[in-house]
Amino acid sequence: MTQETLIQAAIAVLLLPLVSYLVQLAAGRRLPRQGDWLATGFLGLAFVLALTIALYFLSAFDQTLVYSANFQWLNLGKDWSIQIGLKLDNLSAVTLAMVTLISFLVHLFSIAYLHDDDRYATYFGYLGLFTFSMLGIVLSDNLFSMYMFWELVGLSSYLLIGFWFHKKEAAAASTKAFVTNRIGDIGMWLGILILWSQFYTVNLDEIASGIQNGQFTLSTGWLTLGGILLFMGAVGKSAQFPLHVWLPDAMEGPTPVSALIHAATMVAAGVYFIARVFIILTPDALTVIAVVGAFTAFMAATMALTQNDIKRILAYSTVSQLGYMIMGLGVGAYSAAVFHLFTHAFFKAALFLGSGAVIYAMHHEQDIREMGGLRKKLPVTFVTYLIATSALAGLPLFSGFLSKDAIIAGGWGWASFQGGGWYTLIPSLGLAAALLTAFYMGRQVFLVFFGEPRNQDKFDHAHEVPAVMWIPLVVLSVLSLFPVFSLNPLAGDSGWFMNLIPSLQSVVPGVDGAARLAGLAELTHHAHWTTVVSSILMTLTGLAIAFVIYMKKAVDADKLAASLRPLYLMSFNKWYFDELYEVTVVRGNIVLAKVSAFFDTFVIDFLVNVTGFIVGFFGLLVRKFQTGKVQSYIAFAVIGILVFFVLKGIL
Amino acid sequence: MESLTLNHFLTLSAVLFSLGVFGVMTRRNAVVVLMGIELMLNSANINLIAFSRYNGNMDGQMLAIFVIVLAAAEAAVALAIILNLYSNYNTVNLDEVDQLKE
Amino acid sequence: MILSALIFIPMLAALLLILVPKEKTDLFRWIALAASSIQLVLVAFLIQNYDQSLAGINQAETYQFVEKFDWIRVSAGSYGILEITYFLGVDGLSLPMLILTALVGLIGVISSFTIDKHVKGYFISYLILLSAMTGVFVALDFFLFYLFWELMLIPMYFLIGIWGGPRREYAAIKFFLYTFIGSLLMLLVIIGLYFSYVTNPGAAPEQMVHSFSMVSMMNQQNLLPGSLLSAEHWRHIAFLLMFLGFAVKIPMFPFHTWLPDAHVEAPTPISVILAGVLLKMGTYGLVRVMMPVFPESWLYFAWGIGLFGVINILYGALAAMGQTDLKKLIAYSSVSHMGFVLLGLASLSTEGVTGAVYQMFSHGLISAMLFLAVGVIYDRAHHREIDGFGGLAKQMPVYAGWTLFAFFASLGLPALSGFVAEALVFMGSFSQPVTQNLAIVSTLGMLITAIYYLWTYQKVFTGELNPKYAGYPDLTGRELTMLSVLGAAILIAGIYPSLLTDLMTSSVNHLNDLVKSAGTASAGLN
Repeated sequence: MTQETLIQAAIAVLLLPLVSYLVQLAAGRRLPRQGDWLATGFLGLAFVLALTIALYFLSAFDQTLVYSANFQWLNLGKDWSIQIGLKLDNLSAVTLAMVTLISFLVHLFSIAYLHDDDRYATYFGYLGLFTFSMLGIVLSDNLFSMYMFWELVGLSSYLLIGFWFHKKEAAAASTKAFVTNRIGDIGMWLGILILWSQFYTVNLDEIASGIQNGQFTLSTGWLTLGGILLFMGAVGKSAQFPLHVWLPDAMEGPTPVSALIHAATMVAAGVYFIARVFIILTPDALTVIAVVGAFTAFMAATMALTQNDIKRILAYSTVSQLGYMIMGLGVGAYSAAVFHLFTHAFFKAALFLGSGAVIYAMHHEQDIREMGGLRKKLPVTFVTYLIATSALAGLPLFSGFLSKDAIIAGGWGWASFQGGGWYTLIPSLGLAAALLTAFYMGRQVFLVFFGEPRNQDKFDHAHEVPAVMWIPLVVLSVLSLFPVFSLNPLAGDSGWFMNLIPSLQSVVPGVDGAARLAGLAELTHHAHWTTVVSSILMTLTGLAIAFVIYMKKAVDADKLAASLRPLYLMSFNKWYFDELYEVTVVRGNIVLAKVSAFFDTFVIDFLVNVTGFIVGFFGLLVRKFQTGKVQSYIAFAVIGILVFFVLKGIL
Repeated sequence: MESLTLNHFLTLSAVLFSLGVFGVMTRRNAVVVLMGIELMLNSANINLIAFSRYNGNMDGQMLAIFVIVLAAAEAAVALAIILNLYSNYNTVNLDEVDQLKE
Repeated sequence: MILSALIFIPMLAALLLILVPKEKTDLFRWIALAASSIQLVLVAFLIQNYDQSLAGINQAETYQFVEKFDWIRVSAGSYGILEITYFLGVDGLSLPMLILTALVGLIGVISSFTIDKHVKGYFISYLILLSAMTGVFVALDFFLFYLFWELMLIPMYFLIGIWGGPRREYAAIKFFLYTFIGSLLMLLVIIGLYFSYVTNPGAAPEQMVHSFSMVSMMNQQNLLPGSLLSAEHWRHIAFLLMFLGFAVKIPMFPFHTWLPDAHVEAPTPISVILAGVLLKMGTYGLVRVMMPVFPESWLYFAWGIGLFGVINILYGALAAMGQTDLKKLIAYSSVSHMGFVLLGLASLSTEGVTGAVYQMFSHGLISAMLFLAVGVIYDRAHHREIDGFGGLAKQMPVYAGWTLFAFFASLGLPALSGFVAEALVFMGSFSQPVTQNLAIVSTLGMLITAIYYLWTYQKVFTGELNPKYAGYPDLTGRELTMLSVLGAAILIAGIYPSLLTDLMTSSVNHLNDLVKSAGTASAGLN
């Protein structure tokens, strides 16, 4: 394939979902079956094309292979212009295939899941819009169009979370998601502005080479600040602390949407974005990123422990896993983080779709306390769910183990590269989160699929889901097995993925990029085996605790909760973040708005009216002169002129 | 004999103008007021033509002709107004027509 | 003669309407529609024949479609020659405004089809308004500019005062007095400028031509030495007075309070015109007059202007959030969005000024769309209380979709025109040291805007359907046409901004260079 063909194929992949969106919106309702076959077909075609591109890159297996094309979007008659373009390298090629695959599977799944919804056609349209925007981010070679697609992704997420807008919670959640994301986006935009004002280009490669050549005239502190600001965008989109609050609420959207957007792809866009700008981040900025990531991974895992809604558990788990990826980038384990993005996308999509299947089978019951024993009723779903859970918990032989292990190993390597001390806290938090992950996933699986049914009525009506629903589950769970990524089940870095997408060298001035890269790799390698052992131990411990509590019932869960009541409440109420934000940010905003409106009406406009009144009052005085007799007016005029003449004579 | 200077014309014009103003201000009869206005216009015309003569260009004469035309139009309109006034109020005494105040 | 045609076709149509008997209401509508369609066609012709490489601004010879006749030319002896010209021309600053006027004017006519009170008077006023607005955007002689500027006030006063809501008289008087005071200040400065500039400096006093031509005032060599406005402090004072005149129209904080009142009371099509075109006259005055005529004052006050821009952005957005009336909310959002124009102009960078002009265009389309959307629901429910609705998306999905489109356009969603404008303003103001701090603060506006629009959408359109509104029909064909035409324009302007920026680039760059170079040279002035 030539470069042109590849680029054209990529553009086709990008545009197919958009076409699907437009068709669905314009004519979806009038098409047979409301056009679901069309949307799904478009996505299938896009996937085939994307897979071809990815296979081309795989077969070339060249770490430096890059094809790009751009065009001038805006030229203001100066020596710079805004170029928009796309870039195909290993990362974007495989991500392209991943996104289109999951989107295709979700389309497939949705055919059954939403078949009786009255906005069925619109739903597929929105999915198309989302996929288009997401692919846009993946393909962008510059910050500007990335930001544009970034916001469009926000829009499609808004539309899909609020898809069932007649539910108050869904509408509120969609607003919350968009606004929270906007906070992050403002930071990202300021970061872009800093780079723009320095280089007058938005192209990532040009910015990187500009920084490398020392054309960044401000101090390194500004570069760090710029990096942190860019990272803010990822904090919003990838639901990192302190902007993580929107993601759990986003579960009000249809479950396939949660799988596509709020688990596998969109939330990973933040990680992808940081991966794209990785080389221009200063070590200080990276440390901030690592701290935020590790803290989020741990915090979200604790929140997941006590939730009862099957989707919310997964949502917190997503936040936690995204924390891993962010931490991985922060500690310089670039390829491990990107690797985790991939493995997570597959197994988390499987989990969400699996939970969708459970919810569907249980007639829209989402509370895990109402479930139980479902493995007999939903055998296929059960097996796939189990595989995906094992991957998420980080059991060996599954994909999640490979990537998570690589990140934690990277964390240890980084900590010793930085000289130990409190830096070791970062990988430790990662390990702790691994234990918690194993526990809450164990709890979920035991409560949902094992034991006795707790709601006999619903249990009796449950039955295995149709083929369009379980086929995606099977595909995704197969992709969660270790051989897909690495033939060595204990070492991800020997697999094709981490070799295809190697870690990158920093271009920041004052940092010896090559030495840092080599040092981190060396120390990470040292940490590998201890990490393998410790993380397997952690996972098994977590699972064992869950087994003891929820299978054997050796310890009563309620009693345990009561004895640890403050901790339990803290976790159950999500560390009170929503309440805190409600009191400070939301209330503060409303008060400020009311004060402004009041000030405007009763101060500024009051002053205006007072001025008017004063003028009117003088008018009342002067009115006496208006006698209605034309002659007296003329007399006034003549007297006036005479006064002027007299004055002129005097002066 | 002393020749006619610009000052003579200006004096004449000023006297006429003052007469006009006086008429407009003091008379109660609308028709007389109108005559006062005509006097003022014509005094201005004298001024214009005098200046034109002494400056040696035609601008003033041109303006004077302009004024005459306007004055004719004005007189026609004003007389029509006065007629209407009479038919509405049965008087042309301006003191009795003060509804402009309202 | 194309510009004269552009201006006077609505006026002629208004004359024609006078002859039509007042029972034939449909005929009024169709004549008005025809007049504004012809305007749009003429504008299309202008675009077709426009040469993008010519800059205009202070070079009379690079203006296009120029019409210049002596209107009044009197010799005043030793004082010189007094000249007023009928001088029309188009450059890259006025062309976008013409496109906007023609498009929004047409949409306004279509939207006026529902007016059924005194239809004749309404359309006559409307067409005169259209003429006056077009005139403002093409006049290059101050006298003419001022004439059109004032002419616009009168029909507007009646349109609000007769066809408005319950407090229409208060709103109309407020609007009139506010803008009138502003334009008096402007007149004062215009006269000052008139006496201080001549078109042929160096000529003998009797031969000096005092002209109202803006273009000659933009060239500082035409400044009469020793005249009032050759002193720097007088220039600054004149600048501020005139700025005030334009600031009322923008409207700039704290002179904005006429806007919410006028919008709330005005009928829908007049709100559309008011927000879509009228507000742009204020900022157009800034780029057409203030920047090139007072470049050194502009540089001197740049930070202050930017500061007021940021106050507009943030204060307007916060005040919008505090409103309970839909129309008021959108009125305050206009205040907020016009702040971006001020900020962009203050930055004096290519991106910033382009963004500002782009924002004028884009906000014209978006606010027109927003007011149309509010009009749709007002026609059905006869109230505009945000909290009084609920769940409308279920009953009127198409309407909800277009409203959401307008909301997202206004909050700066990429791929829609508002984003391009705001992004350019941010880029421009951030990259200039003068306005960098302001740019950082103003980004908060992006957030507040998102909050109030989404909250509003949530309150009005989502949730359970309020049974009171269960019988409401979705958009009619006419409403859908208006919304979708504007929507398409917004989308095109958002995806491919070069279409418009190419028209204005050379003018904007020339303007920037002019202001900057005059600013550095002003040290010698005094």
